[in-house]
Amino acid sequence: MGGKAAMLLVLGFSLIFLVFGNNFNSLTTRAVDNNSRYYTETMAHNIAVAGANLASNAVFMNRSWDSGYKDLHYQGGILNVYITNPSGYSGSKVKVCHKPGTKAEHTISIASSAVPAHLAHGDYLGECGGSSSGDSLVTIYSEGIFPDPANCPPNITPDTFSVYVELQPSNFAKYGNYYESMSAIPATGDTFSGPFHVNSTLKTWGSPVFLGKVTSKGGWEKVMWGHPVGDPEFQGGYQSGVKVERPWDTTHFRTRAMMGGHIIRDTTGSGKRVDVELEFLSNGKIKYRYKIFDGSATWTPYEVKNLTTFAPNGLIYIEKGNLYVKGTLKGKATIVVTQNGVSNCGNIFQTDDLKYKNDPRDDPNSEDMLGLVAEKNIRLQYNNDTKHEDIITQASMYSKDGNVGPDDALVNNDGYLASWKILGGIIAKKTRVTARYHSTGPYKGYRFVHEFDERFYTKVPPYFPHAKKYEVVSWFE
Amino acid sequence: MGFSTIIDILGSTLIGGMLLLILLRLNDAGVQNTYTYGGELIVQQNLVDLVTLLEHDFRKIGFCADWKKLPEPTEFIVAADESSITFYTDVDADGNVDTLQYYAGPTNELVNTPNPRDRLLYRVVNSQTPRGSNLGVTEFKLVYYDELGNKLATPVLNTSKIRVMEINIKVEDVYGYDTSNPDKDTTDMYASAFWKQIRLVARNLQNR
Repeated sequence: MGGKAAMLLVLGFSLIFLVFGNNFNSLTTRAVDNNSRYYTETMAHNIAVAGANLASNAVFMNRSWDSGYKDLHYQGGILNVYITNPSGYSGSKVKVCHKPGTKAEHTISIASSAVPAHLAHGDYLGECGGSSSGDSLVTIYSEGIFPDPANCPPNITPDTFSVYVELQPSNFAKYGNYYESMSAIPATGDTFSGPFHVNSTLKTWGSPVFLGKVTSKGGWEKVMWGHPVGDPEFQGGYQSGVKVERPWDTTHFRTRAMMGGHIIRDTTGSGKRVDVELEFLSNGKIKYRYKIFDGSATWTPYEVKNLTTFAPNGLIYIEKGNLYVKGTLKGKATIVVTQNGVSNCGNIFQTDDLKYKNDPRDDPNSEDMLGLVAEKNIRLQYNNDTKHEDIITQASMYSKDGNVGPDDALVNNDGYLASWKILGGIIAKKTRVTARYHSTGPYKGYRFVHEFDERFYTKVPPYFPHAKKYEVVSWFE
Repeated sequence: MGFSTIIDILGSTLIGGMLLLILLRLNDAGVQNTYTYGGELIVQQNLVDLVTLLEHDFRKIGFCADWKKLPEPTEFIVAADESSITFYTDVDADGNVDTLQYYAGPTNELVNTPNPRDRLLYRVVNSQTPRGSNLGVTEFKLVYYDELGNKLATPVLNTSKIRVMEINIKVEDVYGYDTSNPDKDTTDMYASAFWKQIRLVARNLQNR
């Protein structure tokens, strides 16, 4: 009797312990499953991100890259990258818009080795009808699969993760400041509005404030000048190793001006210098005259025209000349002034305030937008309207081979100190002083009061120059 | 009944009793372990689910299907404190900018659970009524760094400086085991799991 009871007792407890054991096994399995699930998700994510990075880098290195990756074995998983690139190859061919702006305009696919020759005579990358001003997006879809289905145990389902990236050619209007090199060093007390780039080493002294993202090609160097000082404030972040080249394609501007803009040049075929005076009127019109340096060099009578009929696409191209500009702009315009090898040309002189009819800071819906593009310098001109006075410039200013700033006479300004109030950006080869300084600050010339026009992040003046390289504008993971 | 029989009965009772006590102790230990391991599993599952959600959302800081509606990376993070963050994103990828807020509620919101440290973690989209879930979060701590790796004081007054984030989360068993035992330390009563994302970089913060 007692023996049977003992047996039942032992059997009963054994059963209970079996249940416990089974439960423990189940808990352990579920815990491992849970851990495994997170691990596979993380690995799939990492593979997809790696694919997006690889593809982005490939597009940065070669803007026509559209090969993608198919079933690439990577980190124990599979990587697939699909890319849509409007400037991309078609097989081994590159799509180019041939003879743009003519009746013969059409899209052709050519070998990549033949591309430079086509670009040299005015063709542009991509299909005809598409804007080569940089509005076309490259999209990258990267898919990471982990573990590799071919080597995956039957009880494990591979996880898939996707990353979607959009890239766009970087437009120079997005810069608050861009310089090939800087002779002046940003220092304590300086505030730079908008994105900032220098194509060499960025040197700083003390704690200048950079409100936008800062990039440089050659890293960042803190100048000590004898005693340790603080760090700069990179409020929008800093990235080193970024080289942004500035292509200069006058043919592109000329073609676009022919296709709906306006060209002012010596039409006699002798390639003489042409100087233009242009005033933007607040009613959307422009008042202008010009003179050709053909011996007489006399000004034509003033003409007044609607900007939208004068240059419907907003691009005004002045070949081998100089521009004297002022006024209040209603509408969108970009004025390009080229030198094309003729001396004393390629400059833009601002002769008085140059501003928008609707200031975007007061009216966020303002569509007024101006780009000034000069092959040489952009200058505030010394005259009765500017000297001793505050000056307003509302535009993104691009100087190919020179710099942007006041005339020498205005840097001294007859001993006066005024302000140069800029809304927009300065993109130039070099920096230029705007004032003379005491140890306490500027005492004559122009205080530099700069504010970046944030609309230029997404909208730019018509056909404003853009970089060859792409930048990431959206990253979804 | 002889003396040896009495010895047998006493001996077997003693041995049987000891065996029974051992079995009962084993049973008790089994119950405790089942409870504890079950709690640990729940904690681990809660943590993984929570982390998956956080990674999903935090990686999308500054994302919008229509990127032109969110062009300026310095404006993506609206507010940042040690246990709360508000940022712009596009939750359902419909091209409309949403505001997403995470914050940990106070511990006195959850007085009905034995764990004195658990709190609700709230996820609020736009102006929705805050709704939290009790996943046993006892710590939700955010640390922010600027571009040069300097730690930013909280609350971060200038959120445009934020480039990198560190996320610390501790999840504990809400009910624990043997929680009324005065001899046990409270940290022993509740299974816990800790997760730290040392360097989370939302990619859109680096755009352009």
